[in-house]
Amino acid sequence: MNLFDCLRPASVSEAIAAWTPDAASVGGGTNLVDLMKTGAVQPGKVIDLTRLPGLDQLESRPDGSTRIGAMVRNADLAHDAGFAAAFPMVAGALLSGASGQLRNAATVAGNLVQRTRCACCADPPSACNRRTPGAGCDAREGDNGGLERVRQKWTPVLSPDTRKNKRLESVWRFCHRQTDSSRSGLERILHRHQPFGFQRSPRGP
Amino acid sequence: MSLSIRLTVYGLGRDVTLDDARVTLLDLLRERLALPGTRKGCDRGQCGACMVLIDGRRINAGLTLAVTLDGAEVTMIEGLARSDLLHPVLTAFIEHEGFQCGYCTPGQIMSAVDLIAEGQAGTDPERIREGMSGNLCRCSACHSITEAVLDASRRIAAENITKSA
Repeated sequence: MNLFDCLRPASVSEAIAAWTPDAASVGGGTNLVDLMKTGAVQPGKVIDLTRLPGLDQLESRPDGSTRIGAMVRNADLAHDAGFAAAFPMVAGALLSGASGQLRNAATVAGNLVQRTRCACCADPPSACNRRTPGAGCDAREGDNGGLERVRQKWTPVLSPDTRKNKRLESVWRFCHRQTDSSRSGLERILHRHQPFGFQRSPRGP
Repeated sequence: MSLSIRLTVYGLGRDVTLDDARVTLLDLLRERLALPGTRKGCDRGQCGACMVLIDGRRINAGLTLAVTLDGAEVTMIEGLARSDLLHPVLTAFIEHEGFQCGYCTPGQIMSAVDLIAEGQAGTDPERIREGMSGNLCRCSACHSITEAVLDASRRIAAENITKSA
């Protein structure tokens, strides 16, 4: 992790005034601290948002909508009885992400502004246009850990059901983004989806 | 730049001066406060070995910058037993042998304590497995861990009924 200055503003206006282009804001830190450890993100300044008052509130509005404070934790939002009753799909989606302990720390706003989840983006030796504009994209064209071999070995079988095709396509795209470390996991996923339309290609190595 | 925070550890207030904002809660506990019960596994929030309770909620200490915790109460594995009086989750882990090598065990236990306190899993093994999914056991003691959490969950529920009766 690089050295950085740490600012602990006591109000939202102080936090906004402290902002500079090389600054990063930390709420739960589940994404930022991880990326700082790999060196993918190297802020000159970290602004601690955890002391800001009033940002961890939920507010039900007369029109049926809910206003969610930026520092509301994912777990708190999902387990809020009123919110879960009004927006069961959002609550369900929150609970299907990460693990209980990460949901306890992760904030809703932090989720919305988090960096791309691509493994190459989190890995400084890999080229990533998102991290360094113009550097290229190793997930697509670089050494992506023998992905080509896996790609040749498995081919998607298109079905007349477009919904099914969409799912296949997303699984396929996910597979294309994987790196070496997850290749065995990738093979498992393809195996699992075999009945849904992936087959081992006869010409594969 | 030095930054000061105040933490409550085992009910005692501790003023800590951090000379480096990069210190995570995990490193603070292990290296500076000499409390090595909380383990460092992946150090990236994936394995759950560094689980502690912050204000009663399970959090990955390795992903939390200590500087963001001013005023927090921290409970670690060391805080679950007083002399020979064990927390029900500790007893259940011992009885069901919910461990093999033991490296992940402090994290598993802290996670289980909060999972039961949250009341989200109850005594449904499937929900307990999901609730404990952020804690990895490479020895594959997972079945015994699930059994231990189930048992502890039942014991704590029974205790609560006795208390309220």
